[in-house]
Amino acid sequence: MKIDQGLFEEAYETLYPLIHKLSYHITGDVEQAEDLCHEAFIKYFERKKPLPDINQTKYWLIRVVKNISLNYEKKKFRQRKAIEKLKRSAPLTADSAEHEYIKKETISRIQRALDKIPYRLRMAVVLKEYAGLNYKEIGAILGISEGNVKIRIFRARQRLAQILKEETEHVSWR
Amino acid sequence: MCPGGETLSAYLDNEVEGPWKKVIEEHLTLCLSCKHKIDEMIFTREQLALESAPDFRASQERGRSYLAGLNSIEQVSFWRRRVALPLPAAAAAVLLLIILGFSTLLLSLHTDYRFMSIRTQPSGSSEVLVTAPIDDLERILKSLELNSSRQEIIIQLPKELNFFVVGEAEMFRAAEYKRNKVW
Repeated sequence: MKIDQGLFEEAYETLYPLIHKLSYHITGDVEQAEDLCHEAFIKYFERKKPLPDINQTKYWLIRVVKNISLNYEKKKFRQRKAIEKLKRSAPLTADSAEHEYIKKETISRIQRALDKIPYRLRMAVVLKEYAGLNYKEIGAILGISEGNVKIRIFRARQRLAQILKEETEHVSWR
Repeated sequence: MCPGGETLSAYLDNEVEGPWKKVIEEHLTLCLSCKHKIDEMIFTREQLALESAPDFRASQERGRSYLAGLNSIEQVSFWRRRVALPLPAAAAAVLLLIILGFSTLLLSLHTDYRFMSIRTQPSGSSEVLVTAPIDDLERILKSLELNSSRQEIIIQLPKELNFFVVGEAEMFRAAEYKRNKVW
């Protein structure tokens, strides 16, 4: 048995904006967000058993995004390390520095702050703020207790406030 | 006593229930430090809410066309499914198939007879010449018996063949027996 075409269309139409938004805020990269989103929907498309309703489909897709984004996060971490190593050995050329600057400027201040906090905290706060899920739902998706969700969201907010404050101070000094 | 930051954050998310919610609400009217903390959280939250994700529509369309491609692949029946194969591999497979088929045919012909030739006679009938080893005469006879219910069979033995008698003929044995008989 495969997912009905009509059901899939409905899920794709309704849930794509949310899944895309979550993917973007988790990765901080437009292209990666698209890849994550497409991969999640392909997995849903290939799913043998249909899900009972659109809400269950939403949780399922968010869970898939969470799992795939973890791999992306690991890859990003390795890339970041390699770039840092490269920067130490060879300083940026004018071209690459400009490219870096443009890339940095296109990503908003908030997204940059989100990128700076650890993945596990980012995931929790993104699910809270951009998916509007409650602690119980977030706990079920991340596989942690509600108490743990509470702690993660608080710490994420604390860190974000600190980063944004530092950035504002830095801008006003310039 | 002031509630912890985690509790304040949970209160902001409407995750504190019953009497505790009322207690926190009352506390916030009295404690400036906690009020400041929660205001900071609200401000961060508002900033996050202001942040919008890039437009998704182009990405959604790209995904749709990709999935439509996947769907058309899915709909092709098993017997109509195409398999991509490199040309050298395909040629090798065909060649292997020909060799296998040919050798199977040869093997099936050579199971009973080592050499066979078919000649058409002027009368219109066909003459099948079979050369087979004489040491397996019994097998040849059996095979011919099976295949030739309406055919004329001539077995021609090699001309240079020298036959010799193996064992003793029964008549000799009988004469010998009579000679030695003591009446």
